[in-house]
Amino acid sequence: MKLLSALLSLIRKLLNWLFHKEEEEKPQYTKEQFIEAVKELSNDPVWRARILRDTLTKIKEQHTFNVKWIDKDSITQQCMNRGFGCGASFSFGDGIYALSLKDWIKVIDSLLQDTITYVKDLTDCDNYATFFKGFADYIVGKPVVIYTTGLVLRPVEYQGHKSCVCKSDYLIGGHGWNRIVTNEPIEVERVGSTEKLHFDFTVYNYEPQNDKFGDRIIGNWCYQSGGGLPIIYGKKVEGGEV
Amino acid sequence: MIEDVYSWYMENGTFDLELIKIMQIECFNKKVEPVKIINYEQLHNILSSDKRFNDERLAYRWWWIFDSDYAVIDKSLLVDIVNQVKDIGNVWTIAAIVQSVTGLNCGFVGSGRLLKSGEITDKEVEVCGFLVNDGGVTEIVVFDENSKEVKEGEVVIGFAVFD
Repeated sequence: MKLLSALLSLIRKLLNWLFHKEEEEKPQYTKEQFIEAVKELSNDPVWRARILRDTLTKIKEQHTFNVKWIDKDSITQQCMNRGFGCGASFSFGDGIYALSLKDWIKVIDSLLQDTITYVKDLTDCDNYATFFKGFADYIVGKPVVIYTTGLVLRPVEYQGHKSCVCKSDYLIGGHGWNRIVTNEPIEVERVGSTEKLHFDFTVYNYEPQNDKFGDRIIGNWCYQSGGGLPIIYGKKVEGGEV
Repeated sequence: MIEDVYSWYMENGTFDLELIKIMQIECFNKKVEPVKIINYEQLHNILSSDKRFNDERLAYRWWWIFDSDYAVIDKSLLVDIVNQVKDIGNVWTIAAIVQSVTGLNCGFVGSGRLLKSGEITDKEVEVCGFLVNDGGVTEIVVFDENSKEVKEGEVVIGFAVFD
């Protein structure tokens, strides 16, 4: 019995020594070594796809988002009364999920699609809109970005303020961008009356080429959906709301 | 091996915002040469001869072609790239990754209905697809949200946005 106990103790010591040694021999890599590896691997487009997928997954893992479903009709009603459109649009999908403004700023801060170089046709406005929708929807795990196409116009000065007028004189051209929705309440005056409409969400236009978001005017452009161009929403996900 | 460094750090490393940004920067603005460029009329002709896009039984068939020129990507390269992202389950994300890491506007996102025994079913399916060169032939490869390739006779596409 004593002999067996001594033998077991010896085996345990041997195993401990072996495992300890193995741990010591395991490679450890630094952040700097990892960055060097990323720089080299990313010369291959297949690796770039893997690295970008992994990057988006890391962002996704670092955050938990509370989402609220907003149906398309409510969004359309708010957009109409805030003058977000010039004429008819085609729309697809049923609605979109809203996030808090704070969460939206986190998502926007973590994504760098705005650093991609603009190349006419090959990487232009509609591509940026796809990039942002593709990346942000994946990070949040629900459709949160509205792919929006329509028109951009020059704002006009009216009573000391910039205003948007749906007139071809001010048309800059067709454009693609995004809309995002936050869960902040907003009060809007119904067009053509003094009646107040209350919404428990707020729609923003978001320009994915420069990360700026706002009302219908961002910078020196009026963002107006319409012109018979599509607006693409998302579908409600089962068990999706928190 | 740098692949080992990458895999080890992905498993064990920490990722702050700075690192996340560096990783994205390294993925963007590195171009792939297109096999060729086609104009919107050539794209329109391809769509018109592809049964997935021109099935007349659909109530609506809308294709938005936003640019005057489109890039065609090598099919084997595209398949290798899609294999890296096939578990994502989101057609917008797949299209966004393929286009952002290649710099090619070769893709579209759309929606359609599944076909069963040649009949249109109620099952809606979101799709993305890409203009590819396969042995000298320019054609469109379509994937569903599970990155499964869907061929003619399996899906009809009601709307598609070529960006």
